[in-house]
Amino acid sequence: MEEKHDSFPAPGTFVIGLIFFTLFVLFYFLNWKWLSMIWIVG
Amino acid sequence: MTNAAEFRTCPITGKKVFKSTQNLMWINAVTAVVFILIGGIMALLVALTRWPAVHLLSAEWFYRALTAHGLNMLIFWIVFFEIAGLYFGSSVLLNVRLAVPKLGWLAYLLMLVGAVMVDWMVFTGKADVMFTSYVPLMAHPLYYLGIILFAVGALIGCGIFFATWAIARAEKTFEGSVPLVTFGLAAAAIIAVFTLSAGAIIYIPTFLWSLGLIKNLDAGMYRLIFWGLGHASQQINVTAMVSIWYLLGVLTVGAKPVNEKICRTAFVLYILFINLASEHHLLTDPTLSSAHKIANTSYFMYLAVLASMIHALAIPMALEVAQRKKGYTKGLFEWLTKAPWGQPGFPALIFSLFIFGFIGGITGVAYGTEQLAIKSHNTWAMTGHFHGTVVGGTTLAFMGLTYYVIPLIFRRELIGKKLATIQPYIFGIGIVLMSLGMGAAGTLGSPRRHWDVTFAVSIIPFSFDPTVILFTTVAAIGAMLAVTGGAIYVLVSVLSVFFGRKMAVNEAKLL
Repeated sequence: MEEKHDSFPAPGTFVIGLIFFTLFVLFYFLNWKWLSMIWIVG
Repeated sequence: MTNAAEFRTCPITGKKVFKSTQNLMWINAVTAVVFILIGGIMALLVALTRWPAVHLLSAEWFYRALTAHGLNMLIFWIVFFEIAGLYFGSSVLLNVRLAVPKLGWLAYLLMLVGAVMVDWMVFTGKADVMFTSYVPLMAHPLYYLGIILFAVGALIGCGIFFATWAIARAEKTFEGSVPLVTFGLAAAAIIAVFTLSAGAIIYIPTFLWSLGLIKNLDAGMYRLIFWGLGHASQQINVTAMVSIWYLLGVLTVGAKPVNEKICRTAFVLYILFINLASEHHLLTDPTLSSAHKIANTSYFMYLAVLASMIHALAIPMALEVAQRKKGYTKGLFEWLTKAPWGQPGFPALIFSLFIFGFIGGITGVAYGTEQLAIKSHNTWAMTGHFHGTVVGGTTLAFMGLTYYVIPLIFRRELIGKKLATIQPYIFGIGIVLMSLGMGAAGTLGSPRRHWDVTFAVSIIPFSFDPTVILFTTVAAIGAMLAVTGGAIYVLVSVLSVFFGRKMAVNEAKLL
């Protein structure tokens, strides 16, 4: 049986998720930036 | 030979552990450890050669050691361990006898003979073809035959898993849905069937080609089908690893997912989409059209990424909820700081989860995008990525589970508990340093699979930015730490399995 929770039961995990997402966006952006520097179009 | 119906009841879980299952798990797990030892020694030699300050091996032996490292670690260690895991996930968790144990022994023998043949060919210099054995590089026919035998053995192991599940259903040995861990292992086994079939499809003609019975093999076609085995085999690992994360969550803090249906859905997404990751090896090939590559790697692939994100959040969430229930509710992270960090299973789980997600996962999604693959594909950054997934993720999770399997299933007390406790820390920190070092050096252009990054004896001289050497050194130091952690794992598990105190039948002690 799955349990019912009145409020979000894992705020710490939520923060870890946000840190992960921030790092992911940063790494993804940097890689596109580096690609644009190596392979100059136009 | 043991009676297939002979069993004991586990004093901790209350599950039936059949003697035939226990024996097959034991032989597969012990063999896995032998292969991680061989692969680990090769890792040490490769790392000491890539490190310009040492540059240990000749070019010939570097590529030979690299071939052996890839095969022993990525295939033999992990698949032997996974077969033990499949027998556990079906027979033990479903409370039923293993289907056709004799076939299990045949599967084991095929895998063992295949693995020994492959290693024999590699170490005698008859298969210097690297893990990928790309055509037109040709190895001795026994190399290809060895891989085919190994794959057939592993396929039989998967068949035994499904047959055992069918027996459990017929005999109603469990109620409701199968446990989440078994469900995840079933997903891994389904992916394994696709994967090993792709292996058979490509290695049988390659074997015939090496015998001279087929004149030509198309290099593009080989790469296309090979990666249905080569990368997809790592997707089996990912799926098995996630299943083991859920198991370690239960064993360490009694964690149960907040919503199991979502976790099961994520496993189904793996079955449907995860093998698209194989396509990143073909992103710089002309075999597939750009539209095909972009559609698969920039859109559909994210459905598998979504599945990993679900697991990666569901597991820490389950840990947090379980810990908060025990009263660790202060602030955002008391649940984590007060977790059982002194048990080997917990740091192994957390390091595995975080290294897989933060290093292997983030880099994998970026490098798996067609445009970004052009920049990173043949660099050391890719090696950093998959050491984050397969070594920091899968291997560390398997190591953590071993410390519970030894007392629970093999009924031996661990020898060197303190060593076992520090082992995940040493191994985890080593892999983090190594993956980040490889990633940074690769981003600056350092190539993968390269004997000498200083190009000291090259006809055309070239020198990288000096920071490449700095990051290569960081990676080498990380590798030394990881090899030390690996050696501790082998030592503790071998000593415990062979010389650990035999536990009494009703002794309810985990660690």
